[in-house]
Amino acid sequence: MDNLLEVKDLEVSFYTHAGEVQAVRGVNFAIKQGEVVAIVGESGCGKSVTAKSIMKLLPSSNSSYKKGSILFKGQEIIQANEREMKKIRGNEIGMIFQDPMTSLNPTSKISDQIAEGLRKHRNMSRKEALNYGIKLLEMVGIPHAAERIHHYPHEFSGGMRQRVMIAIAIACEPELLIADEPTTALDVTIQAQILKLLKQLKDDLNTAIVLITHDLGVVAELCDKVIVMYAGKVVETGNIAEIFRNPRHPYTMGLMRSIPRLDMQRDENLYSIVGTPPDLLNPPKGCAFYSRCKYAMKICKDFSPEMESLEQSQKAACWLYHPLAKSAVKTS
Amino acid sequence: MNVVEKDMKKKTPLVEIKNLSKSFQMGGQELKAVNNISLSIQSGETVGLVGESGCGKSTLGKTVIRLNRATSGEVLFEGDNILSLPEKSMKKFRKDMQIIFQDPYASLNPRMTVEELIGEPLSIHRLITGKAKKDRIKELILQVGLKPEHLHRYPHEFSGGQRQRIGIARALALNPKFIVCDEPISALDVSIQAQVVNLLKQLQQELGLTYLFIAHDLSMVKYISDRILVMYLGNMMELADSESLSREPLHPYTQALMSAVPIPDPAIKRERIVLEGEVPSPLHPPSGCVFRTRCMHAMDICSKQVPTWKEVKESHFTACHLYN
Repeated sequence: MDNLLEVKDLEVSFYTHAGEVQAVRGVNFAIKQGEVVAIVGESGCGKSVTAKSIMKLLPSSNSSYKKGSILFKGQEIIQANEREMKKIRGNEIGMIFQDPMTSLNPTSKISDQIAEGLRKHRNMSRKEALNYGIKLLEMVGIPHAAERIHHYPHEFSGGMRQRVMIAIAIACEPELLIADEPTTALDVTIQAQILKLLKQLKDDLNTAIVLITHDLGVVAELCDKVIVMYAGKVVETGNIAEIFRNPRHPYTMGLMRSIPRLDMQRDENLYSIVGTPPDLLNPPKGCAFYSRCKYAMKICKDFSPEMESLEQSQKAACWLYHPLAKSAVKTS
Repeated sequence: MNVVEKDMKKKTPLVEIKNLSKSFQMGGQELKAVNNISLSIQSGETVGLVGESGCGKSTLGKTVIRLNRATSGEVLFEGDNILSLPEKSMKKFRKDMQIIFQDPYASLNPRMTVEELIGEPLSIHRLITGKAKKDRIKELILQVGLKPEHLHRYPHEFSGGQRQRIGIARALALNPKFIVCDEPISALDVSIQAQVVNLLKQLQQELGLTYLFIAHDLSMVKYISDRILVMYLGNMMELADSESLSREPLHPYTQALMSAVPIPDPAIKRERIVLEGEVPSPLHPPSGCVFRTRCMHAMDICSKQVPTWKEVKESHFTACHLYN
């Protein structure tokens, strides 16, 4: 099957007073139709920047695509002009943001915000768009949709606002949905409702989803594939069984071990990764995880590792898996 | 701490909360944020406090150490009711009870250096000055895993996890006995959360601290707490030691809460209880049991009568008509 989205060697930088921040430093991945892919990593690892660059939503005043390509259904996004992007955004690619409070327009009614895309991309009349909007709100589980559609964002609770955002994002039945931390701001019981809804979308509409999150529980629940990012680079990819069962990159191993397990004893210390991620104003020359890695070797300091294929679909960027490296890590 | 020691200390709880309520006035209406909470916390114990946003857990934490004025009820600290004290005599108790806040970005004054931040409580209580104070600050910064050279920097020069360490050093400065940890790790990244939780546990062992640990992340709360109190709409739903609460949650709300936590293991597939609807407004809480509007087991009696707080199993309490 052809790839719906292909990101190759993507490099994105921001220009600040302090200098150039290399937020994304060479990212590669591909997504097929109907696939749910998680991008995980800590704040500042470049996961949101990657997502926004797919939609070309980065501020042009202080950021730039330095290298690479983003192909959506064969079309080069980086070269696309604003008019072409307007045809793609909200139509073929939908996006859900983390904070539903700040990403809806507080001054206009939900009806207008849902209708915007429908009228533009689907040429619906005002009335058609309103009726279809009500249907969408019902679909995402908003009670009394016909009445609620005339309300303003502040009249909804956090969970309901997130549903409204999802309704807007899926209005034109996009083939790709980018969800940037869609449940981080929500309570667990509401998070469960939203996850159920996303699963249903994937099953009913065969929408491909890029889910950006730092919650590994959410990933295990919803996704087919995982992309682990660290300091602007992809350090490991694979399907969820591989990544959860047998993480290979030392950073992924650390992440997996630092979540408390249900069977853990209380006097046992939680595993923690010492130190903090590097500053991307001055990214390290070699492997970015070098200073925090307990398996670090001499070469890691000065040379950045390439992606090595490990299992069927699992790959990790780590010198330990170089064909000539002595097997230093015994993974369980 | 071994069993014998624990039993001995059981006689005098460090903190005893009795029928504590806190209401706020909102446009002439009364919002009951915390409703009739009773809880004893033993010295050296960690009690976890969980519930969704707006359930009153932070309000409870702040009311217990009198950062809020309680509407009614008592808080006994080593036997003294601190809620009835005049503000002046409160000062000596303030030393013993501290708080660590959720947002390490908002809770540190950006214009103060780390040295000033950690030294501030020492100056306010006029405990030590000069070299002794400098030494104490140095000791504290090492205790929380930072370095003495960090002392002359400002909060913006630190990451979230490091800032939370500064917040912890500040809370420790006065040698408190009791610390309210108000979601201390919610704003931090996963790999950093573990660092801070380990630090809190280690400090507890070294200094014999007692924690009221507020969080919404159940797996982390289960890991750090001896006992867990579950709140919903300002009311107590269930209280038990963390083992039995996670093994056998009794209240339907606790069951739903437990099952809502995504398990970081793709091999485990389970039927989860997805609660319908949302938390009702605390301005108009449902009659009877406050949870009944979202409860799958709701019966007639639930809307008519407030369920009583009952010890269903040994040291396992809940308020639910299913167990009457």
